[in-house]
Amino acid sequence: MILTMVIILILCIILGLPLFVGILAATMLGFLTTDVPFGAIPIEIFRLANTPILLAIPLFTFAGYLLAQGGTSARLVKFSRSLFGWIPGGLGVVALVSCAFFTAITGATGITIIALGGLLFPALISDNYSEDFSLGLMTTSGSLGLHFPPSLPIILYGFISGVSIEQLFMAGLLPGTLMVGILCLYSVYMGRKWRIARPAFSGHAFWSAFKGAAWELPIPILILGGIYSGFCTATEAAALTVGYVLLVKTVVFRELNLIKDLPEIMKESMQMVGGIMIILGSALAFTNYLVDAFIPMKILEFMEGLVETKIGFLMALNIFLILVGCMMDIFSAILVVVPLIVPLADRFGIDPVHLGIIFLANLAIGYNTPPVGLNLFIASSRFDQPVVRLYRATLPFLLLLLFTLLLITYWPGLSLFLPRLLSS
Amino acid sequence: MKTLDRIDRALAKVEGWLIIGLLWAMVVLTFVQVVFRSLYTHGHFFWANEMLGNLDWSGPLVQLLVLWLTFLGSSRLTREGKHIKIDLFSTLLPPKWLPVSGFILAVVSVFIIGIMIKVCIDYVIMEMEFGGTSLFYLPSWMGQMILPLGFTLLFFRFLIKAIHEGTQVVRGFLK
Repeated sequence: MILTMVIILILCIILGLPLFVGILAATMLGFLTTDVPFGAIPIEIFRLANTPILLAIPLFTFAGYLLAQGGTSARLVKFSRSLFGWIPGGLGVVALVSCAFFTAITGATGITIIALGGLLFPALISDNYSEDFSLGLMTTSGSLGLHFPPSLPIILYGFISGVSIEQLFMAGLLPGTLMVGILCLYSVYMGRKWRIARPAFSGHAFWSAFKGAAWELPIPILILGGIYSGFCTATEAAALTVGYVLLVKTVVFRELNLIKDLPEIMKESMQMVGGIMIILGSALAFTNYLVDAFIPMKILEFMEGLVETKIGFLMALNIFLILVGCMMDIFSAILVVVPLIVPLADRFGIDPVHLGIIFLANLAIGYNTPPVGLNLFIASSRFDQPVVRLYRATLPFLLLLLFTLLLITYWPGLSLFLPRLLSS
Repeated sequence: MKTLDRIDRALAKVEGWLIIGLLWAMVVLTFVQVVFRSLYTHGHFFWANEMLGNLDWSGPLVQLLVLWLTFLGSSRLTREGKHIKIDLFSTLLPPKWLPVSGFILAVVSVFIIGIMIKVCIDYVIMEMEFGGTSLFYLPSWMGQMILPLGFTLLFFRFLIKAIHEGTQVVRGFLK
């Protein structure tokens, strides 16, 4: 009886049942088998209102949506163009760096390709970069920058796993830079090969672009600095960021009107928040069932029979997470999978901070992995290209990212160096 | 049908206003709190600490707003049919089957959320009997009312979706 219902539920979920309904239903089925009253579900959902750090999610999302409107993206591109435009393959570097930066300041809410694609893709084409290269680059760059503060996936991972968000922010800096850096090198290599014209560096252009972007460039540094100097907590940093961004957008640049534009942005950003947080609430209840039913321990026993070494576990983890990453979006993946993985990783002696960084790197790659990686579909509709073509176009980028994934996974020092430096 | 659609539209408007009002409240209250706290801890202004004491209600209130915004946003998202889902088969399914699968999924959602409303009402009733007071000395169950209310909003939204998809299925059969 329960088994039939489980099968029906799985069918519904792959047919497109809203994920939070699926998770709630799974929780109910779970509680039925373990004879726990359903009353445990609302208690877990209500935890959303008892956890100060979660306040950071609506605030950072709102700030991100504010930044996505108006000229911020153009100013950032102009600045990085004046800074990197002169190196070989410079425009590719510009695209990668601006996208990573934009993903970071908008909290990785999946709007990068949509906001920057229209700006960068035509520029790449008109500078004689091949179409496949440009498509691949724009598609993959949509998931770069997940490791940089104030990325919402990091905040969610920290909340679910109980790891300090401040440490995670620090740990993500080097691996995130590595991922962007390797793709930049590839772009430089291709730019050389194709002998793409290089504009000379102009101090004057740089200065004027720098002045243009001077309000928005320091945002991640202000957030990091505020948190690490002990000036404010992550939640308080979110409140300050909203205040700052509102000031920049409505007073400094006068791009957004408080009465005319803000209500729409507020509604849109809160729809995004509603979509994530309702899954978060359901996932909390589901985790409660998992723990009650000793599921993580059962998986652990099973895994111990299969994998014996730390390396073996990491390899299995990599493959599993890429599969997850190409089927689920990053938020639901964190909410559903992290509670299962954390106890396992702990058993194999993997630092939870390092695990978080591996997790994000994997999901970022899963986003670009055929056949169903989400970025591929966003880019396909944004650039009006068949998905199959994007599979081919993203392949070299995907391979490079897989290489960085290996580095990130099997070299814990890369992630743990900065947080350790700070705590010592 | 038409009345339902009218209610649906009016509801979306009210939800929109509530989102705007509540988000403003959240932004202003958290911002003011941070400013006072940093004035006190970094600038050693004692009056700032006093102001903070007067604002002690705002912490729990703002956290409750997180839940309100979650349900309001989520309800509007349901209306637009944009909830996060694992979408493996909708591209493979022949288009004429889409309303059928949409109808089934909406009915399943209505059923599950219906159970959630019942469970949340029980939860609030329980709190009425045993709970203490919280915000503004009001009984704590009042804060928890957002759960049954929020799920009722979602219930209504999925119900409308089920009716819409259902009529499409029936029309398809009649053709």
